[in-house]
Amino acid sequence: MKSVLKLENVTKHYGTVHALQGATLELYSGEITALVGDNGAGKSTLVKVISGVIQPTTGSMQVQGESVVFLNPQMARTAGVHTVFQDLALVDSLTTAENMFLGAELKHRFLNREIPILNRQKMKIETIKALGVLGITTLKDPSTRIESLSGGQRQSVAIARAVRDSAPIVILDEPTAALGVSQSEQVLGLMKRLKVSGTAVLVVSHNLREVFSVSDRVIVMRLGKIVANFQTKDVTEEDVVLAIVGSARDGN
Amino acid sequence: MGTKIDKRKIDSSDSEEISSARKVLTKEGFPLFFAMILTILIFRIATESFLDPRNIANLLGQIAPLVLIAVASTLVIVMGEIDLSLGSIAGFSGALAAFFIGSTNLHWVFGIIVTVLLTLAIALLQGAIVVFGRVRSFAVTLAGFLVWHGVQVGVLGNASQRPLNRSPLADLSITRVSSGWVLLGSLIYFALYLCFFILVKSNNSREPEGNESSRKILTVTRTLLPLVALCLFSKYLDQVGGIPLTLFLVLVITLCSWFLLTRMPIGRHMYSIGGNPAAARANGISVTKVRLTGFILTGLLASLAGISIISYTGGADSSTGAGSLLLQGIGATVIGGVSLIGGRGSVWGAFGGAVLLSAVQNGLALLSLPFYVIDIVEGLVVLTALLADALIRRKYTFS
Repeated sequence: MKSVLKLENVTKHYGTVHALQGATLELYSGEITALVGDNGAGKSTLVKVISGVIQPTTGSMQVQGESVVFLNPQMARTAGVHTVFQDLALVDSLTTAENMFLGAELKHRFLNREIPILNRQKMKIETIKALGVLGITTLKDPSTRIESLSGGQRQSVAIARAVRDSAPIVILDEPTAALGVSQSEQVLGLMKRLKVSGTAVLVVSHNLREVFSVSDRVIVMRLGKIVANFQTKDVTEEDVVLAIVGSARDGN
Repeated sequence: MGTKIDKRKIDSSDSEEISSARKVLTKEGFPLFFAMILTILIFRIATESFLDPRNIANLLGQIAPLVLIAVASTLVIVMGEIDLSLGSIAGFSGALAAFFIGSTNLHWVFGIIVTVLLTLAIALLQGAIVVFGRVRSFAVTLAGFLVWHGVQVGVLGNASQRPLNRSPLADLSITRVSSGWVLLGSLIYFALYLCFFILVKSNNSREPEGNESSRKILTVTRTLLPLVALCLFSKYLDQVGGIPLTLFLVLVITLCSWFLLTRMPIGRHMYSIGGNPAAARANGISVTKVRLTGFILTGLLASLAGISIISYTGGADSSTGAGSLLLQGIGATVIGGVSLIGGRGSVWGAFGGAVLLSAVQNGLALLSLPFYVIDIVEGLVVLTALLADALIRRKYTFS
């Protein structure tokens, strides 16, 4: 499997607080990697570094073999790292289609040149297409405003937007935390389809049952360090819990 | 958070079969439409002359400043900001234009151009302080409210007023457009629209099979209907000379603002900044640039509002523009369903709100009620609009 993202010895210090201490990890295309750990273990800090929200104190990062430094989320996106944060970054009062293309609107062309007039019809059609590719069938009308969608539908839109430009790396921050059972299933199914399409998926989760149902690998963090890197099929939930709380049998 | 999501879960099951009642009631503009009908009915019964062509032309000939301020307010409010200096900027602009046109040899068109340019500089300055200085727009424009009113009084000089001295600008507000011209204008607009439709739109988007032609007919009809309504309306006013030119002009300006807000990327970015600034930023929208543009456009509209006032009153004095115009403008915006929190609302709502407020004023004046009653009723209308909106939303939406 192809390595698409590589982090080496990444640290992040806030004054005397060492939020991240020498994190090294790799993500592979067509693989779902779960990132678990207790509150304050450094998961969010790690995700923020990878997605360009914050800059690491030391360490290096490679995307598809090339060294990168992300000064902002936009740079990360351009490099192919798309992150779906917990707050989803959707605008409630805009429609599904408008949110799908927020900041990257499709425009009309005139005499072979782009003019600053929205091509609303095309955005709607592309939205339906993008949702269809991911098997999201509960959203039929792209003119529906986000505020009248359910939590699962919102999550679906956010994920669909992240992979709109077929991103090689997708990071999901607690995608099912606020969802009910059936909606969580939808999102997990979505992740599996991303995996099949060759995307490298990193998912932050607290729910070990879900982690075991979708992930190929589990990375455990504790106190700012990566303490374990398991192949999911080789371990039990108990092993992971022990690694999270810091007892014996730390992974390789 | 938990309870909110739970509620959504329950509602999501039937979200695809939204009842038609809910669709109508939650549509932006419904409360406004209802209030408009009610107002017309009440004043039609209470007064003889409310629906007279003469009264309607008179009423609509005065609404330009209020409409412009309401549309300007909409532009800042959808971005989640507020501009309390709009009335003062209008007043300053009016005083400046009156000075250039009435007291210098400058041609009136140049006078207007110089005035607008100077006002744009002011708007840019205020916007820059908000955006780069990271000060709340409420505070900056509150200061602007005082500063620009001071400058306005300064420009007026010792006489504290400046007449336009029979400039053609003063004729603008009494000019009427007969139905023939309205028809011609409508035809030109429709021709331009068809050109755009054929040359740009149909080349750019492949329709899904089947509903192509029915959708096209629907789109064209939606453009045609308001034009037909406008032509019929001007026909009705022909006996008093036609519709006021200033109404025609503010219709065009509102149309342009609507196009900018709903059909151009920058407009959608303005809404997204008002609705969820973090999301806008996360999606790579240059929040700084969009907000600055918004403030500049707002200044432009406020400037035109000031000029439309002096055109109507024949000159500027210290009461031109100022606080009451600002508050009515924001009131009209709110009546029109523009949310003060930002992110939602339309300029046509603001336009309707301005017409409604003016109609109420006009109707009460026809009843020869004292001024203080008019103020009280106006305030109550704004309050009622807000309450109706809040009640309907609470009942029919879940967010």
